[in-house]
Amino acid sequence: MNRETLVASHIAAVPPSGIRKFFDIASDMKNVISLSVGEPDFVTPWNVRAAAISSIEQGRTHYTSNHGMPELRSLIEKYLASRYNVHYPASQILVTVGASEALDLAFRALIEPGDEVLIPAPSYVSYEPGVAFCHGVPVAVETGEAEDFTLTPEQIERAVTPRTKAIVIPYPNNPTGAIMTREQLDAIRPVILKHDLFVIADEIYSELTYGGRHASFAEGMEERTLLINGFSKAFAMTGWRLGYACGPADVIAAMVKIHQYTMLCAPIMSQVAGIEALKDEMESGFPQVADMVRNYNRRRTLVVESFREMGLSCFEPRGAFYAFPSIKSTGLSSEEFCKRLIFEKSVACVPGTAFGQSGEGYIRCSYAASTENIIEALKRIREFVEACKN
Amino acid sequence: MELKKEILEILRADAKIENKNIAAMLGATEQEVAAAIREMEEAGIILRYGITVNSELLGEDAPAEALIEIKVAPKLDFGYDDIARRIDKFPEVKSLYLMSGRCDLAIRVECKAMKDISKFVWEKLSVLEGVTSTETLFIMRKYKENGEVLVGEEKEERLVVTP
Repeated sequence: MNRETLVASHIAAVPPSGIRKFFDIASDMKNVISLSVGEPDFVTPWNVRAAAISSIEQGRTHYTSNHGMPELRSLIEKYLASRYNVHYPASQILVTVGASEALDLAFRALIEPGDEVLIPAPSYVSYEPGVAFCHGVPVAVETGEAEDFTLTPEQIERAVTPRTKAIVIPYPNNPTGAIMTREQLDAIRPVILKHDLFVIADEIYSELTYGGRHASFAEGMEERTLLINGFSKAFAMTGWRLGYACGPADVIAAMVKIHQYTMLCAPIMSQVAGIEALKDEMESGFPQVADMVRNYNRRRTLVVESFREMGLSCFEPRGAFYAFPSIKSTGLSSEEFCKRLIFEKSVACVPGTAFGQSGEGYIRCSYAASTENIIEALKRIREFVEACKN
Repeated sequence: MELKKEILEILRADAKIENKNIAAMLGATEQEVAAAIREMEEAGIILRYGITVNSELLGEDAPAEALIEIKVAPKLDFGYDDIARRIDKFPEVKSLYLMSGRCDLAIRVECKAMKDISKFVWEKLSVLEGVTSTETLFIMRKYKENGEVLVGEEKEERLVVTP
């Protein structure tokens, strides 16, 4: 057997995640304060955990419908309609194993070899590899601090070719914390229509916005949009692996086909927990989400303020739980900065380059950490930055 | 939410946090935060900046604690408040509440050892005028106090770096 050619070349060509490298360094060290965690520091609300426990006690341990439990899908339908004015019938909603599976299914359902998919950069680490796994061509659309890390019609226009099939619109954004307002989304709509692009809107952070409610690209554009969302960030349910996709009937049918052959269904315990999470919050007006957002918002302003005070320019993040300060003034590259920071000060941040080359000069700081840890980490980063400048 | 309420929420979780950090968290100035805290201190809203101790880790030095339910017989000119004012004078009494249900007052007492609490009950408490009966419930182990889990605390389960 020729080991050289054993692994398919298009898989071998994709580099491992840049985040992995920092995970290996950080997990070997003791007493590291981590601002590099991409998940809530809250534990899943107790009522949600209790619902899952009781479902196991009752013996609800079987497969569900491939599409997901009807009750959950109808709750998602109501939730999206009431919260974001986005209207997909339950029949066009597919419950998946995390938003990640939904994303993978979308790429597999849509992409022909050689199809180009526009992806804003910097962005979450999975989009480019996901496209490449399907023999598609990921095309980075550089977004910069000057336009608040949002997509503009001009940038999209420049990146479009006759092979462009779809565009990923991932806002609120990981790693920048950028959001796109209703007006900004409206502004890119004509260019998307002009080139007949299909939209994959990854809105997993939709509940975490500060100073204004989330605007969904799917609103009024349901037939052109595959909306991906899930329970991980809004309900602190990352480990449950529960997400969903909503889209035009033909696209969802294609995704269901892949899902039924490769995954069957999302775990029933997670779906039961998801029902409890949505039902409880919807009935009472989202108090736990509001509490979480208020908490994150305090840490957000604390982090941004502190970076600015230590002389680093920091774009105002309006969503998710990340700040994305520029470290250019230290003269270090993102990777050098993060490596030295962890070795010299035991603080872990993620270099912006883990999210694409356009992240050079920035670091991602997650404020999904306790206030005490954030304050201590910022103190150490300040010492480090001051030492760099002298 | 108004500034004072937000400050209280932050201080309840961490009384040692610096004003400048509270200010940054709430988008207020340090002066505004300092003034709000001073006002609340002067108004008696903030009485004390406390700590929560896991006394189990203190070993021998851990104090003995008990909850004591007290039945009283108030009179027209000697009501609950008057009886309470007598009970609250004892330094052993750390908390004192008027209750609904099967007792009238409930107190939490802290002494060096269990025998000191027993002694407090029969020497000082049950002989007070107006006290008709007491029931002493010794605290054997604390699982949670002031919102802090003391036994089998949930550890940080998250990986240190995730995408």
